[in-house]
Amino acid sequence: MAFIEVKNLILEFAKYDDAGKPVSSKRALDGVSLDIEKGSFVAVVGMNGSGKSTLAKCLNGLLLPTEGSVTVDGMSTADDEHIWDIRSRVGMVFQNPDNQLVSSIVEDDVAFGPENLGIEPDEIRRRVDDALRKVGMYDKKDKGAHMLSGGQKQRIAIAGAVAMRPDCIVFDEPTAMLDPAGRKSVMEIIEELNSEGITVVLITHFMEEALEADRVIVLRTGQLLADRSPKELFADAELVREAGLEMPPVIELRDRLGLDKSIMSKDELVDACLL
Amino acid sequence: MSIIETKDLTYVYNPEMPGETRALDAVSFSVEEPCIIGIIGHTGSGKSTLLQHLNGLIKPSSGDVYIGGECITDGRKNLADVRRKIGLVFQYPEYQLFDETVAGDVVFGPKNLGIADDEVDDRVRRAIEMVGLDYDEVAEMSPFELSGGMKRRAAIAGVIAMEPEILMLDEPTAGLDPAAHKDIIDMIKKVQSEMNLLIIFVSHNMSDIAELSDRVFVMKDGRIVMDGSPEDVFSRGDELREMGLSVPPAKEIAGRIKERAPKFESKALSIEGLAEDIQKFRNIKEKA
Repeated sequence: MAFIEVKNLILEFAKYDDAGKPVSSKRALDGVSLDIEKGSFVAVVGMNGSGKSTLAKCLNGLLLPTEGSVTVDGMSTADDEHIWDIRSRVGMVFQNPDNQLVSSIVEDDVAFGPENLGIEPDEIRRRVDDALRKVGMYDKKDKGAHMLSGGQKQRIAIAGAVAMRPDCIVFDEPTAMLDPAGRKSVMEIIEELNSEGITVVLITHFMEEALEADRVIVLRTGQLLADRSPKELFADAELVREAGLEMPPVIELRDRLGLDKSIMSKDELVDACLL
Repeated sequence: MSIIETKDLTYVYNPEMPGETRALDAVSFSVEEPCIIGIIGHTGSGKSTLLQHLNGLIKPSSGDVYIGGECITDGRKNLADVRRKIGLVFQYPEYQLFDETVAGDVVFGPKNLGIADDEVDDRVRRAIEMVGLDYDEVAEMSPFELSGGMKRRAAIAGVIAMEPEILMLDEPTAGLDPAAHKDIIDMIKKVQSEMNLLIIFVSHNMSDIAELSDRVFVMKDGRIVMDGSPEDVFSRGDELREMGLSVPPAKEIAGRIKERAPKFESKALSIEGLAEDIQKFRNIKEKA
């Protein structure tokens, strides 16, 4: 059994008229099935409106399936009894750093989740310190959250998720609003967390970020268009175009130069250019 | 006469308080011709504060802004006139769409200027077509039925319908998928060439800056620390990285090649240009 199993997931949003009567519905997800193995790093890509964020919100029961099912470690998100357990195992980090901090002081914000789990104060202290060290923000623990840059706020949001000691963190375009240094530090933290065993689901429009994943899931109009390794995905120019995506710069350069399709990183590319 | 000019523009948050911060520190620049100016800088370097000064949303602590030779900061100028000339598109402008139809949203600005009805209708049509949407298709649609990229273009049309002399955009491509991203880039080029206006945009995306800008301002601690062509600015990669910025991917890869092959030269900012330079370099090597 995979850690997260999504089976024939359909999610419909109903439209209501002024009297509150449902008049029509729109399928945001239309029969998606996939497994996410424990410890893996999965990227989710696709055009705006393809269903990426909707899928993300289904993974920890923020949205419940209209049809089909999502299970986390064997527990269904539709089962009220397990929902809190699921949410403590699958954390979320959203796009806008300003919308997800709940306290004015950094360490209070990180402690918010564990406090709500009813954990002992000593243990909360340990978790908060540990989480802040992981994201490199320990020395800012008593600072005001409003004094931080976007990248730093995003690292605090990640620390808040880490302090819950989840098995998996779902990142919904975590770098979209960050400057280059902020993007770099957030991506390094994501890779570090994954290397320590946390399952990572990363929704992104940046193809060079998708390149870092073990597997890329491509959505189009609510359906699964592809589920394959970055190497296989970016070897298929036709599919990339069909999905409304683009090649990462390294791959574009590789293909323009007619270099070997096994080249996936800047280092490999530079080596090949100098041969 | 300059289109826009600032002299020692300075803005201090919390003056004479413990949290005193100079968000802008003696910023002086002048733009003479319509073109595209890209502004980069890490979070908190003063980019957005500068934009807000340029259309009079914030009053400077000291220093002045001149639009078309006229000072807008001496308190004598009617700022409503200034804001009519200078359109500002905020980050994620699609969140500000509010009307039931696309046309209704775009018409809001010009109507408030008190322009005659038939002239307004013309303007709305022109603005919607200018951003690359089909007027007959989208005019009566709800903005919320459009895709992410189309919504953003509809929101930008609302500012363009004001027919500004200067258009400023804050992070125009953030959060868009690659196809919608490219549409916005193409739209900015088209708006600049067809309306022949000055466009000033802020971005964290170095490839966008390289592709669009005729001139780049690099901001740090409230000051403009570099002002030059994209080629000049991005040739100073080490300084940019020290400021928490970066260079376009083509430039970064070219730098890595040069580290290992000092004879390799490339000024290219695009992957296409870099590919050509690498090909030339390899051909020369082969002959040797």
